Amino acid sequence: MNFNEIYTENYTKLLRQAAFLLGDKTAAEDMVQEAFIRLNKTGLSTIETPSAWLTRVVNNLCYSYMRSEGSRRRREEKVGRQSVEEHSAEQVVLNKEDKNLTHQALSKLQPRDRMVLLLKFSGYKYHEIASALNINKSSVGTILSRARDRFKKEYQQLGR
Amino acid sequence: MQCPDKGTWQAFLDDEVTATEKKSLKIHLESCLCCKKVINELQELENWCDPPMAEYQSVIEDMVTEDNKNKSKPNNQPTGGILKMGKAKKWVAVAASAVVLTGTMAFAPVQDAVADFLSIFRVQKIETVKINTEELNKMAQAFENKLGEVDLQQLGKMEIVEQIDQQMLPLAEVKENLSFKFKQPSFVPEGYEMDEKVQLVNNGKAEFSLDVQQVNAVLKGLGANTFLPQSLQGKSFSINSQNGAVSKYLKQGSQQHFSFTQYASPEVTVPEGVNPVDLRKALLDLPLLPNDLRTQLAAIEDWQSTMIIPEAEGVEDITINGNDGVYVENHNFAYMMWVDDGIIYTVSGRNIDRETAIKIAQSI
Repeated sequence: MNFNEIYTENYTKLLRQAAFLLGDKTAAEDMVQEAFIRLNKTGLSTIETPSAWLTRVVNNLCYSYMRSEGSRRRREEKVGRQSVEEHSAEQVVLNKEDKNLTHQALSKLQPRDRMVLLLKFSGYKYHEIASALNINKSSVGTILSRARDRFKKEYQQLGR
Repeated sequence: MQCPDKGTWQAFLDDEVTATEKKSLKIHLESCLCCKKVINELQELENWCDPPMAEYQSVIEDMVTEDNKNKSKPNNQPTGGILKMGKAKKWVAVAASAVVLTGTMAFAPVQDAVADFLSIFRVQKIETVKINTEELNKMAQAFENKLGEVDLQQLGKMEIVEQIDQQMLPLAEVKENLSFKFKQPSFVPEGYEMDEKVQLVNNGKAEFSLDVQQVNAVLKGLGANTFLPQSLQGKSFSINSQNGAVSKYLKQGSQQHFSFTQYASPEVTVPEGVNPVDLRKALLDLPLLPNDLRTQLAAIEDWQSTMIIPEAEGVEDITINGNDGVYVENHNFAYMMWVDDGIIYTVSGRNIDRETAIKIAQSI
């Protein structure tokens, strides 16, 4: 398969996954674009299953994006500047205002918790989640149950 | 054996432990009430979290698909359905106001002397109306353009009179407490067994009253010519959600399960002296209602007893033992609802196919 074929075959799937993780389509497109750039750089000949490779890279990119977005926001809040969020991880899913409670609740979670929750929901196995987030497989269960707990609390809080 | 931590039980539930661990965990579970409780809590938590996640996922997929139609192959479009909440949610809002304004959604008058003073509506059947997405969007747009931000709280007051609560009980107790006869499917797919505990959901009651002036101002903003009568001012409507039960069927040795729920139809009580027909008219006369939707809604004769479901892509009309219902499938999640004799039933589950779901439903 050549690069173009891999691109057409995987693009939408990857975009969907990235958008699900980030809740932001523009950022998701950037991540997917970046993954393909890296694929091109690495060279197809060295990669056995490109689609699995791409998925892994996209997950990693999303995770680091989430973390850097989180720290950017904290920085901005520290200096008392209102965060400029026209186009960021918090950019809304639906409308001008974010009416999706799930998205709101998710964005209140720590990136690691959010990733575990979303990856598990996407059908990932514990060892895959562990390797994507660089954590121990044995702690996935604990993080998952806590993340669900927090998600529920945040969601209920918002729904009030 | 010391009690394992939550994380271990979570892994156990997710089938992420080795065969040996599984064995010893099972043995421990047999004799440890405490851990049984933990497992139940974890399972309930997952059940709680999954629906909003599924909804969110489909909103995202819609968003990705909409813009990508031109870029990618046509067969990449995922299936949609009623669970496409991005749109459906707006509908919930519209439908909710429909209850207030017209009673379009639901509920048959009780046929006795009381009916003259008090109208009670109750769901007896389900009907779908066809709406295309474009019209729906147009309508949402119209709402937005004409009204900007409407604070719903301005329109009236809502008060929860009785909180709905739910508890897990043994089947016998649930049967005792239910206001109608508890039913069980006689057909269950191979390997599935009913969980010994059943969730009992108790009645809840909410009351709301409208600020007629505000509502009329909004109606006017929407270009309406028919308004609510001043006599409605301050009168309370009440919504009674009736009791119901949720039973779960678990597949042995896996996490797969499906749920079967049965609820007595919720009732809406309209205050004395209010003619629901006038309310309905006010809504049907709204100029921004797409014409063919108006016609469809107006054509529903026993509107007081009909639950209206927008027939989006993926929603299929089905008949279960002679009763109308709907079937929706979304990301391997099958959902089916029908009404029989004033009771609303649903069967839902992941990885349950259409034929199986229908078979289960028919056996009830």
